[in-house]
Amino acid sequence: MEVILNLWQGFQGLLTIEILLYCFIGVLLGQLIGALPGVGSAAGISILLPIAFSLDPKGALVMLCGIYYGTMYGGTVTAILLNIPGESDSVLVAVEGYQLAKKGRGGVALGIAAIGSFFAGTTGVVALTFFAPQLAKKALLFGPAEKFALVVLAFAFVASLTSGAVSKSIVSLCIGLIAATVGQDILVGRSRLTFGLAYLIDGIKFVPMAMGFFALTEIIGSMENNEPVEEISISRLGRIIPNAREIKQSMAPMLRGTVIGFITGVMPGAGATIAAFIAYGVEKKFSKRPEEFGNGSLDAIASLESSNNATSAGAMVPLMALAIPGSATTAILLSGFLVFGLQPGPQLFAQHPDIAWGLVASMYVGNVMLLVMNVIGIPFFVWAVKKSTPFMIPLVVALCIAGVYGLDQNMGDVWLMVICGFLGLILIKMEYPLVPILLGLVLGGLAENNFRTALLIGYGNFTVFFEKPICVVLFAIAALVTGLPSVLKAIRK
Amino acid sequence: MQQERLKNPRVRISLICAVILAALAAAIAVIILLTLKLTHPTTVLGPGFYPLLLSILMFVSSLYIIYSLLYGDSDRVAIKTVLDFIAVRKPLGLYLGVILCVAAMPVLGFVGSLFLFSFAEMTFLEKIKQPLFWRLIYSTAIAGGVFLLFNALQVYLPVPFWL
Repeated sequence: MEVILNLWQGFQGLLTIEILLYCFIGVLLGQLIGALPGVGSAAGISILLPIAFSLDPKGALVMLCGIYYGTMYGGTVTAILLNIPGESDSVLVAVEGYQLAKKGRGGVALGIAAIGSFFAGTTGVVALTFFAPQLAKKALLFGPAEKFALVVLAFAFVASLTSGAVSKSIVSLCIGLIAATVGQDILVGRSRLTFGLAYLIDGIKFVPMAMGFFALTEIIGSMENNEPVEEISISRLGRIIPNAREIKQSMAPMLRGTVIGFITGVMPGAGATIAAFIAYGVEKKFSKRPEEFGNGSLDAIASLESSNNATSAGAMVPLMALAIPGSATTAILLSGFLVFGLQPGPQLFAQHPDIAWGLVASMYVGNVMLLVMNVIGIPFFVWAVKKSTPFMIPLVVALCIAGVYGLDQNMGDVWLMVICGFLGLILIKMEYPLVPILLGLVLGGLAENNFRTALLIGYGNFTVFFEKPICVVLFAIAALVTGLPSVLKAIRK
Repeated sequence: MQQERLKNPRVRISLICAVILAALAAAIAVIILLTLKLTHPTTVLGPGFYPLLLSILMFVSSLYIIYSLLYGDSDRVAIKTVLDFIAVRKPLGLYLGVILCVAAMPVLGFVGSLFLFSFAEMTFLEKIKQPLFWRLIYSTAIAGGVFLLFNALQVYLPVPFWL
């Protein structure tokens, strides 16, 4: 009952023209960003973060979250109609949807995708509404040792679930964590790894680094494979609204996709791409029409779209309840919270209920906006993607430079972004994932602070980390998650 | 076997990258040991302990990667494609353009350097070249539009030093 009342208050705070407008702008931009190849949700949010800083905190956060779940919808239109997956999680949608579009059923595929996205997005937010506050209440009881164990668990998930070898993920994570130690030490106040540079005394700034590693790296990397594509004309779309039989057939795939997506989203490091592949595999097993997979399957579209949209709601659970982002996008969102002086985590629901519940409420409203936009706005999104292609790269570069410079009017930040862009490009080429770097940077301070505080409480005795059962369980899961793939491989041999 | 692997340019480049990362981790560890204390009378752990722990972890992981590249499973070393100069030429060209654009900003200002960057990108790097008129229009709109947008948000972008 308490949850319902809080949510109602969240809706009341949301229903102003200004906040609704921010929500609309967020989902519209998210939809466009998701549709544009080469600009992912992390890149999109990091580019727009500096602009959001000049807005009112609630409106800005509603807009940034709108961009996040809007991108999940966005990739679908271009994936199905133009065979261009805007993001990696839309690859399988492109495989199935483009086949349907070639058969003249692109409209139905888009309709099912929109309904599936809405169903999963809304169901995911319902789960977030009830799950996050409960988790936050439990987390309030956590001490420094438990918090450190929780962060280690998040790192373990990120290291083992992001693409590439675990050892490479650990190296990436260490780069981020070491970068987070640059600047003044939290407890003693001594400068560390600054090499006498005044610029580094306050530490390495998150936004220029995030924009360099994601926005700049993505846009420069996208130059490698910008092949011209075949295109389905709008007149061949066919009907967009699916009939009752098609909706009935898609209900079970949507439900399965939603459950898979939400659970995957909660796990740090897993993300929408992994959710999409699991959902596709599961759906192929359960589907009554498995022969359609690969040749244009509506079941696959329903499941894939549901899984990728439920992921975004799932990923908000650890972010809002525990202040632990599970992906690059949520890490950037976390930095947005911090800039506005808001600390996500257990205290957010207690100290800033208007913001926390306002955000949850905005997700319900945003999902309705996206459903309407997806049904009536398809021709507009196709037109926008086609028209923006010639100037997309200069525009993104301009926004990156302006955004980073605008933070502190400092050219040093711009150079930091440029250097990170180059490093990101090399690391991607060498198959080192970038997400752990960002998570290491954003969670590094929290990890070190809790690690040292726990040892201070335990008078320097490391057994302090194993005194409480919850710590032992969290460390054990972390060890299992990191080591299990190697152990299984050794057993198979 | 090892010799054969080292003939592959991708393995060689991966190896160089892993060695650089290991050396970087080792250098960080040495700098920490030379400049920071590992213990502290009031906070138990000194400011150097935690970063040292991380640099050791990074060093060990990099050594493991080097070992895997030299002696690991053949499928783990997965040699997909040899680095293709043609494929990376455009991304590198764009990157160079970004560097020149940022370097020119104090002299030409945001609008001037972004205009030149946009025009050059659309002229030399885009697969489908737009007509000259449209390239000029797009470049002006991007540089001027972003400048005005940020000005409206009271974020002031660089102007030429001589203005």
